[in-house]
Amino acid sequence: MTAAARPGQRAVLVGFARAFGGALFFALPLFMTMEMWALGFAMDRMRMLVLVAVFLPVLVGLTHYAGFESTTGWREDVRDALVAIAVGFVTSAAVLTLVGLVDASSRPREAIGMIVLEAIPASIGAALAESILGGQADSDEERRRGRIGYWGELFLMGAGAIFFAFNVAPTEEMLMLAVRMSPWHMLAAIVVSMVLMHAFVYSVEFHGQEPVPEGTPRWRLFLFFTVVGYALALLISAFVLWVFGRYEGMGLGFRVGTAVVLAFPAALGAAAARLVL
Amino acid sequence: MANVDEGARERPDPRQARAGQDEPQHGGATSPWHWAAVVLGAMVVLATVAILVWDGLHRREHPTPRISLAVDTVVTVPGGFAVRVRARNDGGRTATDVQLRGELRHPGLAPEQAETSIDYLPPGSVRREGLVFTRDPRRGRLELRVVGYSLP
Repeated sequence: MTAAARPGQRAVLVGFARAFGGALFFALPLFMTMEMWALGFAMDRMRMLVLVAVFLPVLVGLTHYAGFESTTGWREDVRDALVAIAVGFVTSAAVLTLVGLVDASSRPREAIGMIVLEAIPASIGAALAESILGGQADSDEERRRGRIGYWGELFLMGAGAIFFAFNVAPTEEMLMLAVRMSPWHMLAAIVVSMVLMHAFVYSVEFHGQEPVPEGTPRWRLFLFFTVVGYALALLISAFVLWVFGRYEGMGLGFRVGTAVVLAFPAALGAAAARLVL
Repeated sequence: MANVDEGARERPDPRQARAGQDEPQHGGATSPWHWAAVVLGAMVVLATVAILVWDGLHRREHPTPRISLAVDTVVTVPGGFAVRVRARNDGGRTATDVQLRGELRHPGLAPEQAETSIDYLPPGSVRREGLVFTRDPRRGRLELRVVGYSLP
């Protein structure tokens, strides 16, 4: 009954504290990005809805594979995802109020747009809090990681790509780079992205949740993880750019070019996700 | 002795056997769906490369921006009339800081000018801008032109 309660309650409180910490930690760069505020005002509302709709299953998957509590079933994963969203929204509203972007005189449409948009990276941070900040690498976690499977690995790569792409996609710099770089620069960027990605993929195999049996052909790793992972990074980059309205009226070359520019960080995020998560 | 050896070979580590079914990098059976992912992924990457190569060759053939302007609509706004102008780049190169100017002439009156600029206009792209005049452009003669641009 009292606040200084049983160990179970304490664990829940610690879990919440971590979730808020994760939300703040991951989303702070985006809270302080001017373009995110502008997108919050001006973004097409249907696209914002599409973005939220895409993020819900991503969050459920994240809580499943890397969640802030060891879950046993999909129902618990969904519950944890909803908690992460709630934490994301509260953090978003609190930080935007703290820095004076949202106050009593804000127009509701603009305030809500900003809070929703910033809540997305914040909820990812909340969902990842345990995996990054928790530090209790229990055997249960390892077992789950062990039987994650190919699609699970791809999901983690996609989540890493979304997170990294989301962090830089709103900025004007992505477009300026795409304008500056020639198509030959872009081709070089593809090669560099894939080489770096493959280095990560390969190092994961040595990092070793599951040691590679000798004789596993290297081209298999390349095809199954590097090529598919990079394609995922490209598609996710294009999706994020479209959602943010960066493709409006633009020619095909520019659309592909910006996706390649954004896929550079996204590919690194995808590759690193398998190491970090 | 030989029998024991064979027994060991026929009974592989169960964990590895499962991983073999599940994860393609372990050299075991790979489901056709995994290969479908590889084929789709390779197609996305190759299409991206192809478009970039095409874009690069196109730019080499048409090394300058070619910007054309067209009037979309005219709407009444506070303070006058807004002309929605559509700017399109049919060249092979991006123009940045594109300066647009419209000049409106009514018989017997001094010409009226309005200006706007576009940050960047990549090849094959369309941007919509607004020019605002105090008099109705539908009743005068409106001339639109690109005054200048930069190359990135």
